[in-house]
Amino acid sequence: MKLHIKGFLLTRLHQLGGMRDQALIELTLQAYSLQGRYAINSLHVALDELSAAGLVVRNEPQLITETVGDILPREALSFYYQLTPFGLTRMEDTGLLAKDGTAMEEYCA
Amino acid sequence: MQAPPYTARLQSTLHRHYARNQRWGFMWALWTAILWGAWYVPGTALWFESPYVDIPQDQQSLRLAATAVMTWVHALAVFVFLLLWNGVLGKVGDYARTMVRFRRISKWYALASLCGGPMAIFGSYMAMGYVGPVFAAVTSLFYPVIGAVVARLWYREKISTRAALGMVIIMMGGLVIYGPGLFGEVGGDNSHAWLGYLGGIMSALGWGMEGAVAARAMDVTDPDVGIHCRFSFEILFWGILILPALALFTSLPIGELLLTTVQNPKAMVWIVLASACHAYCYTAFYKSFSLIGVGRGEAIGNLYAVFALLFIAAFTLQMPPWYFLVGLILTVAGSFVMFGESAETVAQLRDNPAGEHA
Repeated sequence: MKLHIKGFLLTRLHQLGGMRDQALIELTLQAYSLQGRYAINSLHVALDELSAAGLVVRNEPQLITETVGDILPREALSFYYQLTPFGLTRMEDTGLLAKDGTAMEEYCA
Repeated sequence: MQAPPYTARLQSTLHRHYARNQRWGFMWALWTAILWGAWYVPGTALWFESPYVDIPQDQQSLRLAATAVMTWVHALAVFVFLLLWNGVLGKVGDYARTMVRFRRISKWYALASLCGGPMAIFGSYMAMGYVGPVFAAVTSLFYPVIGAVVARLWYREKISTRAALGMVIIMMGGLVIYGPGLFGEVGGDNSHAWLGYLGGIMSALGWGMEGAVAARAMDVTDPDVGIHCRFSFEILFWGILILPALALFTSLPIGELLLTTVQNPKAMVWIVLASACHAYCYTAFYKSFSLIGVGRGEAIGNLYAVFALLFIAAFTLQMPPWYFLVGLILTVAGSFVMFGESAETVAQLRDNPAGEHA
C-alpha cells in the first residue's frame, strides 16, 4: 500500500535533502494521480502544518506566478522546504525513517 | 538565524500568509466551540427519550450502562458523518493508508480515543452522577491546562505569555458562568462524592491529554484523517471490548438498551443530530491543533461553555442568569488576547533550533 500523503512529503524531503514546494507538490500530484487547484492547495496546507509543527523549515521565500491548467495565473508564495532535527526524530518515532537512516519507500507493506 | 533583507512586498505577503494560517486556526477552534455548544441540545434531549427517560435517577450502574450504549451508537453515526466528509474531500484513501500503520502511527489515535472517550466521557458522567452537572462542567473547563502542559513537556509546544493569559481569562469566564451553581452541589452529605471528584479529574485529564496524544500522530498525518481514525478506534473499544464485557460479566441489559435505542426513531433523530455536531466539532478541533497548537485550540474550544448556554436558551426560551454576561465578556476578551499574538509566533508552534527565515 502507498504511504499516506504527509508521510510521502516527509520521506521525499529526506531523500532529496530539501525541495522547493512547486517541485515537491508536482511529485506528489503525480504519485497520487491528483490534479487541480484543490489538490494543490491541500498540499500547501499540509506543508504549512508540517512547518507549524516544526518538522520542516521553510526557507528562501519567493513570490512566483502559479499556473494550474487553464485557470488564471496567480501570484503565490513559494518556499524551499527542509527537514529539521525534530522532523527526523518524529520520522523515526513514526517508522517513516529506519534506524539506519533510510526513509520508507513510496510503496510499502 | 538572521533573515535576509526581503523586499517590502515579499515581507507583507509573508505576513499575510502567516496571518491567514493563524486566522484559519482560530476559526476552526471557534467552530469547535460553536458545534460543541450546539451538541448539548440534542445530547440533553436524548435523555428525555425512551429507553433513557425510563431509567430512575438513583440507578447509577444502569445510567452508566445506558451512557455506554448511547456513546457507541453515537460514535457509529459520527463515523458515517466523517466518512461523508473525507469522501467529499477525497481523503478516504489516505484514511486507509493511515489506519493500517497501527504500530507506529495510528496507535496514537487509538490512545487518544481512549483518553477522550472512555476516560473523559465516563469521568464526566461519574462527576455528573455523584456530584452534579455543574461540577462536571467546571472540571472540564480545566482541560486546556492539562493539554498545554503535556504538549509543552512532551514536544516543546510554545505557549507565549499572551497565550497563557488568554487561556486563564477564558477559564475564568467559564468559572463565572458555571461557578455559582457549584454551591448547591459540592460538600453535600454524599458518601460516594469522591467518585464524582475522581470522575472530574478523569474528564479534565482525558480531554486534555487527548489533544496532546493525537497531535503526536497528527505531526505526520492529516487532521481530517486523524479524527476519522480516532473515532474508528472508539467504535472498536466500545463495540468489541466494553459493551460485550458489560453484557457478559454483569446483569445490565445492554442488548435491550441497544435494541430499544435503534428502534425509537425520536432517539435516533437526536443521536444523528448530536453526531453531526460532534463529528464536525471534533474535525474542527483537530484541524485547529495543526495550525495554532493544542494549548490554543483547546482554550478557544473552551468557549463551548458560552455557546452551550446560548443554544440551550434559544431552544428552551429560558434566559441564562445575569452573571452569564460577565462570563461572556471574560471569555470573549480572553479570545481576543490570544488572537492578538503575532502571526509569526503562531506560524511556528514548537521550540525549534533550526529557525525559519520568516
